[in-house]
Amino acid sequence: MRCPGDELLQMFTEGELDPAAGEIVKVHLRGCSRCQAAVARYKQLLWDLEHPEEPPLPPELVEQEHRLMQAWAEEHKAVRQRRRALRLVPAWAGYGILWTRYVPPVERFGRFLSRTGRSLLASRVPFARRLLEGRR
Amino acid sequence: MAADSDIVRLCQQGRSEGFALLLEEYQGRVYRRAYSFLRHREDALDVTQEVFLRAVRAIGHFQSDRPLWPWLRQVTTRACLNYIRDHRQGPPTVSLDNVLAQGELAAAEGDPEQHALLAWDRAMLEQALASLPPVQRMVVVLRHQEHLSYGEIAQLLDLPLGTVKTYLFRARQALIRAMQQAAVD
Repeated sequence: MRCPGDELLQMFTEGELDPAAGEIVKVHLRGCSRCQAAVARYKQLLWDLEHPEEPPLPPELVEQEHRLMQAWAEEHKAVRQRRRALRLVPAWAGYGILWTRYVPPVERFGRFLSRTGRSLLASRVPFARRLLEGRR
Repeated sequence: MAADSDIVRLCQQGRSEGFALLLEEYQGRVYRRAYSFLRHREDALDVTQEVFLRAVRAIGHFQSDRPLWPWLRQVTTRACLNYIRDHRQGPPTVSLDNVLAQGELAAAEGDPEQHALLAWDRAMLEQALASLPPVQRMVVVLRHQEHLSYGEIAQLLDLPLGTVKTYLFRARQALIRAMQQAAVD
């Protein structure tokens, strides 16, 4: 049997081959030292990759934590303000309903004003005439 | 160690203790993952900050019964991908200080000869990983450190499944070649 390609050997090492193909590769490996060496190399590489040396945490992360906590506080201050404003919506809606229901419409209000004005004028005109005549 | 559901619940109540716990549990982990993707300390710090700034805005809508790490890992991966796209540059180099520090750390524990060899191998592997194209490196990290399936990696990086397999194969071949070359030198 010809040697399987490197891609197949990598998949075999990872256990990603289907069982039938895996069996064929296993049989081949028994008699091929070149492929055995390749699988050993892949195994070593996978082990090294799966056990990485963790990089040390930089001290700047502490400073960054303070900045992020500030960002959190600012964001939540804005959220609280929005919530408070939203809580007032029902109050504003009730006030609006009361206004439209119980306050006389503008027209009626205008008529009321003009009537009052006319009567005021009518009452004041004779008084003004009398004043003028008296001066003469 | 605080449970994810408690962290999410406290954050959603707008309590700063919740966010402090989130940072305590995950800031280091996000930094390390970003570092393994980008292989650059300052870039990894920038990405960590970006991830948590997004978390500030998004955690309010997070389902409290879901674990946090898959979500943070996804945000970190996307942020690193964007970072790589926005700052296209040559392969980063591994700092000599890091390599020496690893050697000293290893030599301080147990058999110095064995550990010096191990540290040297590690340094070579780190260098080989750093010289990989960034997206191939991300695929390797997601596969071997996060233990995601090919399908999950394809979904996370928005790549076809075949491309993920090809990238993994090429990356591992390149790593083997680099390490063989280093051994010969």
